[in-house]
Amino acid sequence: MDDNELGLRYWTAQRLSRRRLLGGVAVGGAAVAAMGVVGCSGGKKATTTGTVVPATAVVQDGTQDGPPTHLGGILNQRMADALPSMNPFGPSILSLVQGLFLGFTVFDHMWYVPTDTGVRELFLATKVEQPDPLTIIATIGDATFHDKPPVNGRAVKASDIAASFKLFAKQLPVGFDYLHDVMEDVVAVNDHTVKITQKRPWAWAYTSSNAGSPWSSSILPEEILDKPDFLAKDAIGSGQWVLASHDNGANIKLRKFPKFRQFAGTTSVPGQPYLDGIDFKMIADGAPALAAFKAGQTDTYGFTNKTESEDTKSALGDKIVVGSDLARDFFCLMLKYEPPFTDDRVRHAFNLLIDRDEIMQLMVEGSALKCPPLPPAHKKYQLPDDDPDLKEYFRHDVADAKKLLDAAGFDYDQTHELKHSVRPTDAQVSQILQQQLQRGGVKTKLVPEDLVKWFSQSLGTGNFHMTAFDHLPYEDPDLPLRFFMSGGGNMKNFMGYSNDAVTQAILAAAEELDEAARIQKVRTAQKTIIQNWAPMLNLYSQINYGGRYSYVKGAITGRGSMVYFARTIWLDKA
Amino acid sequence: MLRYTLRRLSFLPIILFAVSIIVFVLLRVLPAGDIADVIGGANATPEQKDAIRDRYGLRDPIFPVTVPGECEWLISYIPKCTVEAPVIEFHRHSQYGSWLVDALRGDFGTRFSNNASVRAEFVRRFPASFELVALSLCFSVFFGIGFGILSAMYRNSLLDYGVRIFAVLGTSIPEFFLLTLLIIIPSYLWNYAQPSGGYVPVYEDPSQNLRLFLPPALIMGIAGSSGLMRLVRTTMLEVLRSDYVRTARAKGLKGSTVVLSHALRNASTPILTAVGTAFIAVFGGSLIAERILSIQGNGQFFFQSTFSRDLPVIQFLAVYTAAVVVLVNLAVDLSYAWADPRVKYS
Repeated sequence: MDDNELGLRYWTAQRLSRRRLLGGVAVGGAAVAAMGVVGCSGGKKATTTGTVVPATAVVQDGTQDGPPTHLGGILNQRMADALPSMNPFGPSILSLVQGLFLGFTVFDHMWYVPTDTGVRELFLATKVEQPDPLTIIATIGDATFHDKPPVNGRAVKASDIAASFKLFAKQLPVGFDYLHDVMEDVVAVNDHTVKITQKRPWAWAYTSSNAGSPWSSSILPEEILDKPDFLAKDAIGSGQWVLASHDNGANIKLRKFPKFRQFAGTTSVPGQPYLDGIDFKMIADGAPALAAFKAGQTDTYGFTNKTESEDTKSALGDKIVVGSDLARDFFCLMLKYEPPFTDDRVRHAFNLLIDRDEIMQLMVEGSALKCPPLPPAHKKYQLPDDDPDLKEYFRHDVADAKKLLDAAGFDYDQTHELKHSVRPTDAQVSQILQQQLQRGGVKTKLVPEDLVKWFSQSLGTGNFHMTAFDHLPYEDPDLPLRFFMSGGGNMKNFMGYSNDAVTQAILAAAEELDEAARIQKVRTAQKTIIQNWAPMLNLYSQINYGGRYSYVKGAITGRGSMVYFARTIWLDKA
Repeated sequence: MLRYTLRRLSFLPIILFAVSIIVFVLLRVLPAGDIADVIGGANATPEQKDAIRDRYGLRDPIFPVTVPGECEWLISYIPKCTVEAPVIEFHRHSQYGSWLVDALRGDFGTRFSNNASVRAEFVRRFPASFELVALSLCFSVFFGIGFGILSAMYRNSLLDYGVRIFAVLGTSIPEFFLLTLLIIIPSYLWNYAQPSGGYVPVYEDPSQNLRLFLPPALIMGIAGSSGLMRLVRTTMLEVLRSDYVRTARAKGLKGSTVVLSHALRNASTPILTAVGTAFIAVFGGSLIAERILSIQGNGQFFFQSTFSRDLPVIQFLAVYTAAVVVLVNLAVDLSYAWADPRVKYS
């Protein structure tokens, strides 16, 4: 068995916890961000940081353990916080929490683009055509909703998809996003055909930040869309799992939907999902969660760090399999585009003062990769290691930083506020940054804030001078790049940063439909971001460690958020 | 005694009223910003925020009575006030007024996060919290009084030293640390963990129920008993030296009768006070225990609601806690008369 199985870990609450999500939502403000995981091969390679990490993702389809020898059974997972509601439309940012949870389990989607290939895979759609760059026509297969009133197992219709998209667009106004700034309209041509028209060509149209979002592309029956009181308590979809019960958002029980996508011509396999269900046990704190895993009460666990994973492996031996993967989330230092940060030299100097190696060592014992403008998990879009701009981005040089600050007439007597949420990791990164900036003579004052307040009133409104935080693990390059964009309408960024060259470079990549050319344009956009010292300075992406009992097989690994759809998992025990 | 009880009970609404006002004001004046922002999130449109404000009555004044700013009568005093506008304005709709009227009808509002009834959720979670507190208090009283008496009876013995050391440790070590050890040590030694996944009533599965509640109740009970132990020991030592105890022994009464019927009864007044205090400590400690052990009780409810700024829940649980404390204190006061017939309430 490979030691690189990652995916199941993401079912654990570490990944699906409200706080974790909120932290990411913060950044995403937007949208739809996907949480995924890159699977890794057994091979190792040394990176630019010197850290040894798993190499390229290996695409696996859930059959790497062979066909299931046992069907049925319940997979036990941890959840760290109760879902505040079952309503994926809101109100509030918390709706992302349940939106993603239910989007991966209870609701179906037309398609999904896994990170490893970047190639659209059909879900409910059996055919997708794009007759011109502005039109997408999808044909959907025969499927039914879960057999619960008031829907009672009726067939899924194209009008359900159109209505769901429209309600998401109405309820989730965000910054620049697909539903508002790219999609012109979505209509049901007939019961089996959905037509999406776009305002502009958009290469990322199918990805998880866009019309393939695990959240805002969820398909709900029209009957319940205008019933927020119903949505607050229950969920009806056509996905692989039926929401069987929950204790007001905690201890959620999902059960197999036996009629899940029973039509030919898709990637679905008859009999899936192989499990009878998934039970999520509410375990708030880390210590009891690890204890529950060791006691066999949960089948998987997301370790806090490498040491914890090694200790647990040593205690449980071959009973468990431990794997690692490169996270798609990343930490950053965001500077508000106001004096002194309107001066390129100051932003450049701040970047030179940042010692990413030290941060990674202090935060995660070095198990991380330095993060360029586009997180390292998006491998094929990365700048080569020897790119001079990338080298400059990662360079740490206090003396050169001081020269730049002096040249810019930087006021060393001024104290700069560095806001952060009270999440431990955000607080720790901020403290390290404070010390590193101090080495260059920059005085900072840490301003910790409650997470909700920090998100809604500081980050979201641009009410900060500096802020440091952890982004959500984005599934495609679109959203991480969009944070640097500026423009009219909804095209804004939290930093108040406006740079036509950067915006045009990002838009050029997004509107390039040819993949090879797009890859080059994404790289160009990153170089433009670096050369202009755009005020979001990315720090690192960490390597996560996860464990599962060895009888848990069939996990899809190395495919980003595909793991959450979890249809191929089976339990090798009677 | 009935009149005394009724008189004490008559204070309850006044205390709850005062607590509700204080909590209501504090929740709204703390620097948390516009509640509509918190509920709606950073990206909510002005229309959505308006809808939230309408739904939860956030546009209404906080209290039904306000003082117009232009009068400034607090500074200039009423006789000097020449402004023709009314000194006090009454509002038909106010946030607190609406909450109070609904609360008097038994409706404590709905959660911001999912519009679920606060009362219904409280009732659903109550058995778990009640069982944890009740079991913990039983252990606390059992260990506190039992070992306190033994320690006094066998003064300066090994048992006495053991109890005294234990009492000091119990007072010194915080409960959350003991509860964490309760998780870590069995996990490290035997790969054992507390059951997880929700509350199982004792009548459905007694074994699972006890596995869930017995260990934390024991920890909290033992931790809570340390203060009681020391008090019982001290009080009993004093009583055991008294003449009537000596007389009882001289009469040839059994040792257990002397201690339990004569000495303990006379030492019970301060002990009852300490039991009341222990109850409140256990009640507070159960919030931490529920969080650490993921017990889906009202403590967990409180934590979750605090993190998500679910003000109706916080408001209700604060008032509920005040009511519990007041009622427990009343029960303790009334129990003095049971313990000491000389105590008369009038």
